[in-house]
Amino acid sequence: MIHASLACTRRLLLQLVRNRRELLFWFAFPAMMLVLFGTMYAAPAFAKNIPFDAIPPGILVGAALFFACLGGPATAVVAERQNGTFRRLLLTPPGPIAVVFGTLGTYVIVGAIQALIVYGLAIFFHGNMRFDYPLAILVLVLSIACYVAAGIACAAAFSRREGEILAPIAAFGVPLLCLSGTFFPVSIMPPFMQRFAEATPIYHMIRAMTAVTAHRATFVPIAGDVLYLTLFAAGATVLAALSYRSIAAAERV
Amino acid sequence: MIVPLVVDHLQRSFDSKRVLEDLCFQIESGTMYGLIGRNGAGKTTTIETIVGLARPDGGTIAIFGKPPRANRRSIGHAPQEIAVYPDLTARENIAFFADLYGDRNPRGRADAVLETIGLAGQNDALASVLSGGQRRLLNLGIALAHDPPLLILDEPTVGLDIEARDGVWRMMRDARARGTTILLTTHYLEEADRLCDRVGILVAGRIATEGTPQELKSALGYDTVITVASDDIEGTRSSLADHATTARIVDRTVEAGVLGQPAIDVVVGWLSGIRASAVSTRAVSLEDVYVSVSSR
Repeated sequence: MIHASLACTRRLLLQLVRNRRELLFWFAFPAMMLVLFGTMYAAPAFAKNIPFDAIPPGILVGAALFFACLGGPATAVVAERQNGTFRRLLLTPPGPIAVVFGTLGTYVIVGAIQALIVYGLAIFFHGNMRFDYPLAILVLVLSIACYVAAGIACAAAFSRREGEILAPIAAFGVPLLCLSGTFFPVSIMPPFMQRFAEATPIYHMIRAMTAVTAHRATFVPIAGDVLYLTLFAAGATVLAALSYRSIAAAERV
Repeated sequence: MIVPLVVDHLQRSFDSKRVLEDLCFQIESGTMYGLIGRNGAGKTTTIETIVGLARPDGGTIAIFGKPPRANRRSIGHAPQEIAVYPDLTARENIAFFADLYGDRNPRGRADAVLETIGLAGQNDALASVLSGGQRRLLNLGIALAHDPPLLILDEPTVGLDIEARDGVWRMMRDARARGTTILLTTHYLEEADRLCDRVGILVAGRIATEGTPQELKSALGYDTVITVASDDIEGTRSSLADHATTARIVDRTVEAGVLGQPAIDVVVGWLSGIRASAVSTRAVSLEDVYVSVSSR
């Protein structure tokens, strides 16, 4: 299974490198968002309420990982169905779990590059980030796992055509991003919205990421977030595998 | 020796329509079997059921003695619709699938396959820039990626020009010469006649007749077809029916099937006494078998 997963990872990376525009968007978009929000929040009206080190985690998790690691796998699966290669994959020995892990591997690499860009720029402009690297990597990988698995599940639920998948992701995803603290800290929202935000995985991603990249937090303060994300990632992976099987069943007429 | 493919009393319906009805055939090792039938006869459904992409309602399929899903490595399947990654090169497409089957040198295997299918000069070309014929060859190449002993090809030459078609035929002959067993669906009867060791004609979801192309043609009871064009088509057909094994109207001509030179001489002699605007003769073909069987 590892061999097959690596083969899927290599193939997806090759396809991403070939489709440079998508890759460029995924790398340029968070950088632009960081510069934009960094500049906005540096204005006197915001400066007292929103410290700069709270911005990169939201940009990374919401603007970068969300579109690349949720939208990417979803469109990849739909494109696979569209060009007929999905049915070919069904006839090969590796099971759906190998494909799910292969996709995860690809987007871990994409997400890692996005993290380097976002935090590289953050350090360049601000220079005062305080990382706990192992925990930051753990939170990053868990966040990517949540997104990738949810993306594959979305592909099964929403669409057979590539153009159709982005609309539901944007329709459900962007409000969720706003609610989860991607663009504005959850603390400035009304209490009832805060309670709703706490139920979303993106909130826990941002909270944990902020703790381990801005405050060099130990494991204890983020244990609840890590537990939540682990459970969500595990559940979403099971859902992704089941969704993949359901796509397979649909393709097997 | 274990038979590569045994299809036994296969049944398959879509909604209330029965597409496969008690379908039975088998393919001997190292031979090429042609499954022919009109559009909608159930050829693709048969193929997809055999490879495991469609579930049968009844009956069994054995690939080297095992169910299809338990023997995926033995099957190479080229679907009718081209299924390749457009943004990968020809080599990368084949190497990816070779990799999934655990090949230790997938790029080397891909180059060997590209050589076999006549795409050696296109190794580094993106699939999206290949011509339609080249993409179809690549579609076949992916089926060969893991060097399967059973190759299942669904209308592999549809839409190809003569040069590309000849390339596919050469590839199939080479594969058979190496001992690969091949199941081929086609509606090009000449293709089945030239390539296949045995042919099954699929009518209404079951094999209506089966045999070597020569056996099928011999079973018709005539070996020559005389085509006659005349003003009185029905009268000519009626008269020819008295002298020939069979006579039927095709495109404002009469086709009469006759057996042996004496019978030909009789018909030609009779034709000299009528006003025929054109007369031609040809050897009996698989198309005659197909028309005879499908019109029963």
